[in-house]
Amino acid sequence: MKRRLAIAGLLAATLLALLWWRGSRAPGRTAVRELRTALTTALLNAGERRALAIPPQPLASPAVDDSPRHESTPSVAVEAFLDQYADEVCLCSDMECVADVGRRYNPRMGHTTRPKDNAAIHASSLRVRDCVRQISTGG
Amino acid sequence: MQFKFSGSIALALSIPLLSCTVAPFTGQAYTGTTNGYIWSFLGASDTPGTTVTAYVLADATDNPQESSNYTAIGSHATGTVNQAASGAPEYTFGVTASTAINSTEWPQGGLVRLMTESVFDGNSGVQPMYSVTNEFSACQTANTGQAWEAIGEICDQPYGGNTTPITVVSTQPTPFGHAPTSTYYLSWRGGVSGSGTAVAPSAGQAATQNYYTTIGAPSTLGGSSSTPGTFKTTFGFYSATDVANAKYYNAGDLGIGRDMYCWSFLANLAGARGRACYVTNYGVTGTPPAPQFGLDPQTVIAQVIAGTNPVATVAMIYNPTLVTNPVQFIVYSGTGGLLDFAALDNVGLTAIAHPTTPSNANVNIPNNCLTCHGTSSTYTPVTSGASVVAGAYFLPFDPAANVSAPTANLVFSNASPAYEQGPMLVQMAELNAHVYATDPSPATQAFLNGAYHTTAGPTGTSTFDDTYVPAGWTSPATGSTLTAGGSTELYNELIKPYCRTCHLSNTTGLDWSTEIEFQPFAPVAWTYVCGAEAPMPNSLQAQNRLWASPARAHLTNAFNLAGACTP
Repeated sequence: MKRRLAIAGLLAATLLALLWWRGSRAPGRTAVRELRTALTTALLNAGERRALAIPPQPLASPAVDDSPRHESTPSVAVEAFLDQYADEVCLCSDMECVADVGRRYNPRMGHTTRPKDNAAIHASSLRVRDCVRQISTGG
Repeated sequence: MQFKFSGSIALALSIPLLSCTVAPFTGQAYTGTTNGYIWSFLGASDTPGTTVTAYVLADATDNPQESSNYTAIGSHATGTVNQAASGAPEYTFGVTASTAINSTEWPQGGLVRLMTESVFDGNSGVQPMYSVTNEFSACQTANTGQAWEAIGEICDQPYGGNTTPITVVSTQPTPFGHAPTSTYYLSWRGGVSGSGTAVAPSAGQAATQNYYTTIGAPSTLGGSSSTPGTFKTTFGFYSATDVANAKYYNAGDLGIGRDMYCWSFLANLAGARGRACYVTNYGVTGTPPAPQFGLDPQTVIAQVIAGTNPVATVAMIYNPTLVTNPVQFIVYSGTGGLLDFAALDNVGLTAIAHPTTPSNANVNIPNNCLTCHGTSSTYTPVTSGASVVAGAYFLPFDPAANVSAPTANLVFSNASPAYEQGPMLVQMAELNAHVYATDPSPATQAFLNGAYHTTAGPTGTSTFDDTYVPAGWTSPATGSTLTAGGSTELYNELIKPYCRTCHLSNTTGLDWSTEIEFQPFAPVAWTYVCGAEAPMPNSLQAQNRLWASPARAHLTNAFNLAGACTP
């Protein structure tokens, strides 16, 4: 019961933050109605938690399944990745093209390795800089 | 997962926001253990009794814009009682995840991406719900009185509508806390990273001494009265009538107290005037008092005001009559003698205590100064012959990042009226007027004129505008992937507090004065921010502050940069 009340209190507090967001335009009757709804929701959530035997947050639970739920994609070296990125940027003739290159490369950044060769990354970034300057000045 | 991203961005930009998740929000920072965390989602929709489902990016390294990469973690129906007093109907919801987060979804110290979906706006199928960022509460306050769907439309996350995830940051450990001996701070100098090899401070000592010889550095700082040959006497401090002085705590990139003086001096008989500045650094703790970076700001400011236990004094000179080394750096000890080393972080203090032991700190002068004062400078340390620094600049005093907020770049006294924010901002304007007279970088000139609303540099009566955002960020150029709102928010959350100060010294296209200039470097910046050995920011203090901030969440969401961004 004590735990349930604690959970309900926590959720009620966060829901009240939501009410605060709606704040100034919801005085009087609406505010009372909101409060009742918030508390009801909090209690419902507390009941759900109890039914599912989920501990309150935050918690470092030893029972948590820490195995990936998704098959990881093999990584590529970030140095080679950025080098290739610079190659493509430098093929562009306008900034829309540069933006498109970013749209294609940025979502793949997560599958690159941690940087090991700062000089290589720096060289790629300087190529990007030089090409972008040339593109943006129409050179 | 049911929602589909393709095609929804165009739709999202044209409809009122009839769904919104307000908690969690992008930029939320969490200091605890990520593995096992259970999320609760709160928000509102225009549809009663409809199921809201919450999702997590199953692998934090995967593409956050690919819907198939998400896993459902909980669901709950919206309420059935209309909460809106006017406008569109509003039905609130609260979803508590039925599954705890694991460390693949949210690595410790990294990012987690979350989404919610439901039926709303009269559509028959589910679609991603809109969300907000850490700037939401301020935006909501600014739009008080508007209907909820209007506030949602104005204040929603500005990085691509409802297909952009809610990105939350885990702030611990920091990169330094994770790997304190493998990171090279202050290793960028003149745009070249010197990382990867530990070097004993003593290895650079002869070059520093040769630099001092080249520029004719006075051997002592000088005290309270004129003595021939001291720095103060040489550069006319005692006779100056335009001395500006500010006492403050540099929270943004150093974590120390500073007693700063600048004035003009006669550089030649033709009347050319140079500028000289010196700043005495403070911040000691323990018995006997020992220097330490990152101490409590107000404690250190009290030390500055009292003048007790000065740690060191850094001097800079701008002499317009010199062709070589027009900008010079000299460091003096707490007692005023010339120093060959200067620590700019706690790693540097350890290095100086053991000068013959290889260290990844950079304590060599002027090399460590150029990390920030010369991001496009050139300097080759030599032990004989002329020692030449080119492309070094004075930097503006930047009291920005909300001058009164905990995230302030510079912190002022809250106990001594003469040194509180009001009078100190006046002195900051005076100091910046001197900086403007040192022929600073074009980006610095533009910044000072922009932030002070001037055209030829600030004066002592100029007022600093902390809301200043360069036009290149408020009005993205053709080719930008960001809206004006997204560009402005990224500037305020990332560039302004963590990048601006040093990048203003750059003259080779990396001053970040426009969004279109920064955008192509997003993947490079992401690489340097997320765990590189020569990281960005390159100052330990600035990196610690960035890591505890919403900045990483804004950077990834702005450009859809994938990656867990762990330390």
